[in-house]
Amino acid sequence: MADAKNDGFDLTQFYQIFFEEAGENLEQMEQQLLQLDIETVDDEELNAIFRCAHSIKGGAATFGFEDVAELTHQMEGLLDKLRRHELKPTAPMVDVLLESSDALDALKGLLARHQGSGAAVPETASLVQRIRILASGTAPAPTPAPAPAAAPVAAPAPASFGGMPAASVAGVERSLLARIGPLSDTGLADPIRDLFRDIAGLGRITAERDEGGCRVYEIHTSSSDTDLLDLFAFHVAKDAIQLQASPGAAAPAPQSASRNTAPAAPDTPSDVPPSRPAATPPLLPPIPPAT
Amino acid sequence: MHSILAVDDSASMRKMVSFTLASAGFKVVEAVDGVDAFEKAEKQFFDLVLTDQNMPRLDGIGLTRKLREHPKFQATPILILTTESSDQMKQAGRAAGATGWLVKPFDPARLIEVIRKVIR
Repeated sequence: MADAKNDGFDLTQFYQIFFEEAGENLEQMEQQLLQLDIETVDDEELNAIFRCAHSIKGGAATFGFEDVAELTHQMEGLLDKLRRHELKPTAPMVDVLLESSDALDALKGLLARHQGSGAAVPETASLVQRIRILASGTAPAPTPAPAPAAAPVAAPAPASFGGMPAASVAGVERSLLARIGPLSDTGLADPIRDLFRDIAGLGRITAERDEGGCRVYEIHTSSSDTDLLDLFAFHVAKDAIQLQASPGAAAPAPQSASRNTAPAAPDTPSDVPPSRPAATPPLLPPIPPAT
Repeated sequence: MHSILAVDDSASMRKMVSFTLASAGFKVVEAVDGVDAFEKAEKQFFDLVLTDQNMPRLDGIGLTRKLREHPKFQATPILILTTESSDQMKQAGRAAGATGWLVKPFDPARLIEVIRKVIR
């Protein structure tokens, strides 16, 4: 981990700013967690809590405060899944996040007073473990229109993905359709094709067409819906992206990402990166049809 | 003297990066997020941009893309300095036009070394 005294750079002078900032972030995080209504939580609330944890983690990692960095890293992982709608907030999640926030406050206090060891140090290992279990989603993922069973591989029935269901687990090959639009110019979706060329292991596009002002890509991939949406959203507005199972899905209600439009991704396509080799084949061979 | 735009929503990180770079003889301007950074970049030229990834309003990759679309910054080195280390994030950063992806915690001397290599 980082040693704050490094090649003549004495970074301990920044500790105080970090502690003050971490204190503000912890206070904000605690208030927001206490106000959270798990039935009606909105994306911006979750994003704000995530950013608090992330900010503390960054500083802690840089200054070498390992216990703080590890605990905030775990909190961040859970909060990331919540804000991406991969998990639904539950009371135990809020509880462990609040307890972790208390532990961080105590740790910070000790560090600020140059006390780093002894019986008074809050123990964080059990908090880390509890967060890991909750973040692993062993409770069933909530899906409004669940696909039949949990069959993630080339489901024969045309099932549409509802939200971020368990069927979008990364690592399992599947075929899906990405419908991008409507767009004023379907060429605006070209950078999405480039992503598959430029990012090894993302998947491959097996066909594409333009229809009704939209660009439709047939994709074969082992990436999760979440990863695909996050990458696509760098190039087109998130509410212009719909993912659904293929082929030939009538798709009565294909689910697009439900996040608020954030200002992070302008709609104009990025520059095409120069001369990249063709995308490597997917890591897993296509699963042959059962005979 | 080369000037660097240092972008991070954390004040302690900004201060630390500024201190590190200033001690190496760079002029540093700070920005609190991608929107602030882009507004500053429109008003003055920078020889290098060093940005965090996760920030409110406009993140590091979003900022990189906006800068690459601007005639002044198409060839400027842009380094993303962040705790994120997933391969897909890094590749998305590259696809957006970032020059490099540095993972926190960083070694101040190493950061300066990297900057000296890429800055023109």
